[in-house]
Amino acid sequence: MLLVAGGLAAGSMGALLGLGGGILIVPLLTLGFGYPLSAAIGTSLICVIATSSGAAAHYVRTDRADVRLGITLEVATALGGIAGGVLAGLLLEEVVAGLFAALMYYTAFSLLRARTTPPAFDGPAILPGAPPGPTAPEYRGRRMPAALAGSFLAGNVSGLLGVGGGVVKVPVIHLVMGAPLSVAIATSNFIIGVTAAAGAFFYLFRGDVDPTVAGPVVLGVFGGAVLGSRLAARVNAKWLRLLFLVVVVYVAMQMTLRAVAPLGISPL
Amino acid sequence: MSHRPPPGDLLNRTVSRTLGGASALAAAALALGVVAWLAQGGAQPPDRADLGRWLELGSIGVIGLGLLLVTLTPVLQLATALVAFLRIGERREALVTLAVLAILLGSMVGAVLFREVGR
Repeated sequence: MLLVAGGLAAGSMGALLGLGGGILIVPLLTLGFGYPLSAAIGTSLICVIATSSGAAAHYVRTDRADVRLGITLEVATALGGIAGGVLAGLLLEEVVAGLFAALMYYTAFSLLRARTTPPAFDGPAILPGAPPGPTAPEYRGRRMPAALAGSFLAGNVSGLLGVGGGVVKVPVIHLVMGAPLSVAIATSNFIIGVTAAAGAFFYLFRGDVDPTVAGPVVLGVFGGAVLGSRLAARVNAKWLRLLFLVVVVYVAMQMTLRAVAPLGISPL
Repeated sequence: MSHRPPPGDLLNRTVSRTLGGASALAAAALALGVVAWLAQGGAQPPDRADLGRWLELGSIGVIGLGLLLVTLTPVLQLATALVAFLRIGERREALVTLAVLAILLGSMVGAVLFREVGR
């Protein structure tokens, strides 16, 4: 039940913030339940796919996700995901923990800098579902090389650390390309599943995933993703970001301690 | 006069149906497997057992099937988008989707071939 509840929380948070929930799942399984990091990462990647599928079904149907942009960026992200998945099998667990801690510090920094209100637009309403042509949104072709590079990095992060990469993708789509935050979140949710799948196959076939752990967690994530996508329009994003920030900082500190444990450094 | 839905609606509608349907199926398999596993006493699978081994283990195999379905959902998602792009005549988008699908299928093949690396 604890695993299901943890999955529910991670799935909800992920759907609301355009993330896959892996940032919560990996620490939950390693710090909370004592599972090896590689097993936690493999499980987390599958959870990310579940979050993506559950939330994106709603976002795509309600025309909030830009499917065309998402698939274009996914070329770079999927390649990055494969590279990350292969690399993860070759690195020491402490190194991976250190990289995860760095990701969490970056996430906290991004949350502190995030706008509380979306940018205003003077032009006609943004239509994320518009086909190529005169009605296509302007952001779709803006700074594409930089966006592809950022997407490759997001894929690396995903495959290596068991997260969806949304923590990189949402800023890429919103800040680099200039899409509205709601579109960035919905589009990120649409593509993080594809990214995660590229790395997940390696963990699954390598025997890194325990089905008796992954099964209950993924079940909870499905429920949370559906719930989160429906709550997205009603939740006060400011308070949600604050809560998430507290969790992220705590986890970053725990992962840092794990990374430096071989050096004999302890909080006591 | 035949009614043809606007191109945006066709793409989004079919992709969202695929995502919703595959998710529901995977969730059902997981729920069934987890309940059956708990009812049978909740035995642990062998350490580092991979997908092939799970499928021999009854209820754990059902859980494994659910996890596999989850992992394959993005493949279905892309395949659906590819067909939709071809139907509405967006060839460039269809080619990009095909490229992503090829990368994903390649990673699946690579995962099977190199599964001993890092064990």
